[in-house]
Amino acid sequence: MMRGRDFLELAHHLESTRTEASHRTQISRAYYAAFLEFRAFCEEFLHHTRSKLPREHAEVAQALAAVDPQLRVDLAFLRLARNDADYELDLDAETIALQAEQARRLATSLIARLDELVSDMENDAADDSSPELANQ
Amino acid sequence: MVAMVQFIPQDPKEKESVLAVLREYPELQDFILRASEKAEMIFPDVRITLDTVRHDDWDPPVRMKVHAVDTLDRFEALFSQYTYWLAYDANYPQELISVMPLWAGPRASSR
Repeated sequence: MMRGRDFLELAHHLESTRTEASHRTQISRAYYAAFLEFRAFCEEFLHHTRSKLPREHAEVAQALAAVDPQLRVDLAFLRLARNDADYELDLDAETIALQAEQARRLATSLIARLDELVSDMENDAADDSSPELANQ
Repeated sequence: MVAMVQFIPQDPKEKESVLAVLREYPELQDFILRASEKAEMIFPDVRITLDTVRHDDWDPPVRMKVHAVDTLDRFEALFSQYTYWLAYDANYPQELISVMPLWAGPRASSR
């Protein structure tokens, strides 16, 4: 089944296509990779209910603040970069190329942080249900 | 407002737009000055700009772009320091302003 992070693979695949349109698309895919992974996390662990409205982009970021406020700040930044890439066609090609590299790196880092977070939470849950602890 | 002058856009329309936001939310000036000072402490070569570009109705009325020149590896580490500060120590009013630390190059010369 398709996962958000699959969009990041595409963003990396597009690196070899060094056009402005490709760079803008890479930024967009990097953001959606991170957003969709975090949305799935919020649904599984933070009782987030998918609203299917544009405002959900803000809702997911806000939900993350309860776990790690820096995740909210970083995801919000990536969304702004995606909006600039998609709508601000006056931004020059070199600026966009730089932001594409930054966005790919940041999305990669965010998803890695998310995976660590999930691993920690699953380990905590396993510890909580450990027979040794139950017998204490 | 004197120290803010350096961040105000030159374009007359955008300039007035930014000034209107700063008049409506005077508390933003203190945050912008603190955030710019922190950026100058963290990033070795930085330029700050303000604009009122919004794409979604929940976007804050003003954006502060922090344009930082460095290698991408160093920038990535400093970006994390800066957003940590924003998240935990800055009293960052995210409903009023978006801060965007942006890599301004240089890119690696060859791949």
